[in-house]
Amino acid sequence: MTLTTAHPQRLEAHGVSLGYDGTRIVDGLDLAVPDGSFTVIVGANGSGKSTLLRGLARLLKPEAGSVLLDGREIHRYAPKEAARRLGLLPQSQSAPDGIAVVDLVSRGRYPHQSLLKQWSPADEQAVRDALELTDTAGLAGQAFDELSGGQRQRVWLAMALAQETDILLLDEPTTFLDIAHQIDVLDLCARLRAERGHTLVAVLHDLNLAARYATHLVAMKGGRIVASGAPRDVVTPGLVEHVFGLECRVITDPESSTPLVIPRHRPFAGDADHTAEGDL
Amino acid sequence: MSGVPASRSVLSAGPERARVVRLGGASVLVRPRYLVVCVLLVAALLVALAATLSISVNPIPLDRVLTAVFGRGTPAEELIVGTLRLPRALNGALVGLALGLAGALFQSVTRNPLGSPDVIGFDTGAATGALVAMLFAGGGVLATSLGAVAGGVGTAALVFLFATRHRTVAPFRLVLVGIGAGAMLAAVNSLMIVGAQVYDAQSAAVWLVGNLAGRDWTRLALIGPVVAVGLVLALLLSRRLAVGEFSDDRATSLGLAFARTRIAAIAVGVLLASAAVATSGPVAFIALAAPQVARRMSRASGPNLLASGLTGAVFLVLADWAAREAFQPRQLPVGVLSGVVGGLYLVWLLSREWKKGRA
Amino acid sequence: MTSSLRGRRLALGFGLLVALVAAAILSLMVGRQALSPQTVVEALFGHGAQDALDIVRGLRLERTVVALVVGLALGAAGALMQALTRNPLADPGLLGVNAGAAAAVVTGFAFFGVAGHFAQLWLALGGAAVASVVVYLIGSGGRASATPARLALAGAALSAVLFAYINAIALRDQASYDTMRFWVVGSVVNRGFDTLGAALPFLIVGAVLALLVTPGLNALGMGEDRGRALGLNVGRVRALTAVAVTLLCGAATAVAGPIAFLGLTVPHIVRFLVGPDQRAVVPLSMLLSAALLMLADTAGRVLGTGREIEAGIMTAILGGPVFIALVRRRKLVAL
Repeated sequence: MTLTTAHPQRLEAHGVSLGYDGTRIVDGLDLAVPDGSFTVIVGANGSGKSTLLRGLARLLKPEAGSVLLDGREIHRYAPKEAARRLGLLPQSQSAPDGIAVVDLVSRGRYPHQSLLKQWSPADEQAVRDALELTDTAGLAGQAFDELSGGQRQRVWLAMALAQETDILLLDEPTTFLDIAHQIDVLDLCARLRAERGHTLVAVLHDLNLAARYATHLVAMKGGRIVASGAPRDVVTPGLVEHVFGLECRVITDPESSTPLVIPRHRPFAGDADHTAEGDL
Repeated sequence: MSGVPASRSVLSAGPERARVVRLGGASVLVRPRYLVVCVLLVAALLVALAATLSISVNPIPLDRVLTAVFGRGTPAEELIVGTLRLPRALNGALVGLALGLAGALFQSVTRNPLGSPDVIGFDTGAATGALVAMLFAGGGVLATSLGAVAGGVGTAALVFLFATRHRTVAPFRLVLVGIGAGAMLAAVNSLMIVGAQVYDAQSAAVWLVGNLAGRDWTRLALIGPVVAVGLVLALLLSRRLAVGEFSDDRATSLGLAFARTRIAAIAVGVLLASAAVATSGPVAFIALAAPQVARRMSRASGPNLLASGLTGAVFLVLADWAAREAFQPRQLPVGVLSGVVGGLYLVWLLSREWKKGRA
Repeated sequence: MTSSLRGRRLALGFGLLVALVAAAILSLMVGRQALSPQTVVEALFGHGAQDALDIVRGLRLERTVVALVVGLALGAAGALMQALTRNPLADPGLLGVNAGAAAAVVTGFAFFGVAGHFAQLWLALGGAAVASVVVYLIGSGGRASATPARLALAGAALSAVLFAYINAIALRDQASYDTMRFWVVGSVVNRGFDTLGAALPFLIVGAVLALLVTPGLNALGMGEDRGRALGLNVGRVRALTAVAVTLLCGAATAVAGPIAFLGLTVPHIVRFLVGPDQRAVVPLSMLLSAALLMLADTAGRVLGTGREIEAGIMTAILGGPVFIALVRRRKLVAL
């Protein structure tokens, strides 16, 4: 895994505006994704976080501004060239009928293959590694349709990993997963960053998980970035109120020493089970 | 890891048991099961051809068939085999091949086992074109064929156009627009048939059902090259189509320009289906059923183009044989048989698939 | 319900009744010998010139009444089907129900010589029932419920099979071709009051059921689970609706052959104007559908050069673009 260019930030957005059907969702936004970071984008529903990710992932053409990958406009890359540098784990769940796990994961090698190079040793190794990392090697021969939601998400992750890109974008990778598997996936992402130097950008809806795992946190509201930086600098009661409309208290997570958001308790008449523990 | 030794590819854990063949820097995947299935299908096709040439109300022993093919039989044998049965059978095989391929292409692109040319209005449009040629332009073989191709291609283009929103075509929207167009054109076709003289109407109706009777060497010469070209183009697309079977987002993230692939695949599919319709009229359900049967035999993921084509060829040759022989002294048009049998198969297929919860 | 919504429904209902009468009078006016509205009205009441009386009270009245009744039936059936399957693309014609009815009648006629009205009616009902069950079962089997695309495809495929079959039988001999052709295209002409009379009991029962089942369908529209929580007997509502659809479609097809797109597009228009309350949608769909079918038949008389265009063809040619426009709407994509 080599960093191929000397450009400071490999993935950036400059004054980018994105939308669908005439409605503008992201407006004039600047973002520089720090290399080798685990950047997490958070925001309320409709804040534009998924739209921004899709713009970064080459799925959406900007109405204004530009997204740069290694210093070049991302839409100018040949599709396979971009796919060798930038990978995406989208939310969509559809897989071809009756496909086996190992075949599905191996489709992730497509950007590296051609008519005469259909299965190189690198392909072989990448798929084996991906299955190992996601702990899905035991499922290799099974039909994808027969897997549980958590298993399927791990297989999709394996496919994205098999693509062997330096930068990986993840759109709500923890949906459909129970809490143990959510932690597994995020721990894996953290390891990829720390041990292999990948740059990861994820959209997460759980603020506490985002604060726990992100090295760089980006908070969005109304299509704009309202705060970005290290989680302990970004996650403050004031920000949470502004972005999510939630009154809260922020303490330090005793396990990970990252910010932990505690929503304020709002007592009502007859609420005998809870007593307010003093004010902040 | 899961018991696959390092000497074999990890792909051998999958149901296709794929193997890699390496030469220098190049590498090619070999799918043993798929190859076996294709070889078996070719064998089945040869058997079917032999059966249709020799087993009949007027039977001709197989060895006599062979001598007749090489021009050394009796005049009667040469007439029956060389002029009647052989070209008809070969036309049937090519039409079946074309339909199987077209069906596989369309089903892959629409990501739907039901997205085949006959269901999405293409066949009806081809019929419209052919009817116009038959009823207003004299109805010669060339005119009818051209009319069918023009009608089919025109309908496909319009359906594609109307299914496009924001420069993308969602697969199921394509199918639904096709159904609407098909229903409209069916009404127009009815109108034309009724408006015509009864004799013309009768022969038009026969053509509409799909028929291989009287298909001769000239037609074979026309359809042969087209199907060959279509086959090559389709096979070139097959790797891209395999990736395209994921969602649009995932395909893009893997570096596939799926829009271009989709258009190319539809164009090739339309070309093949046009050639088929120009030869025999719209034969129902081969394009729909052949790819599904092929997939179940080969258990391969991906579009299964060659196996689908071969399955279609076998189906059609057998169906035409039955249509010619099984209802003697009358001969049925092959489309009737394929329609009824294919339909029953389809119903079974649907209920099985959807019971399993697969969309 | 807000008073403005209620007002809109009443207004639409009244407007449609007026439209209905106007369409009927128009239908009686138009033809090889055009008549004026006054002549028509007089003739209906038995006054006026004898030849006008013959025309108005003869074939024209017959086809107008047939179009009216069949239109009522198809409008109700379409609205019910869309409510039952919660599928905006449900249409008895597209979902193979009409094809089933037609195929059954054709089979009876061609192989068993069944030609009597009542017998054909029963065959049509049976065919419609079998076809609707087949398509419904196929579409809703399994964990995921039937998506619009699925049902439309299953119905299209089934229709294709059945029409291929009907065509095949029609090709057997020249003589039966014209008769058989009828079952491929729907028409309201030459159907005879006796055919209509035979079908009427079924149509009336079907229509009454349709109106009775609307509150249940409203509850079902919020989802099966929620409906059960409200005390709804889901199975019974579904069964009664299916019975109503079968009766209406089967009888309508037995009278007029397969007519498509009416049941599909009319409920959409009505829902667009007055919202999804089935108690309003079903009766208003009936009225609009009847008016449209009469208009389609009338237009077919005018537009055909030299010979008339059957109503079934007109509805397909006009309904096709509406269907395609519906499919293009973004909301549908979300389904």
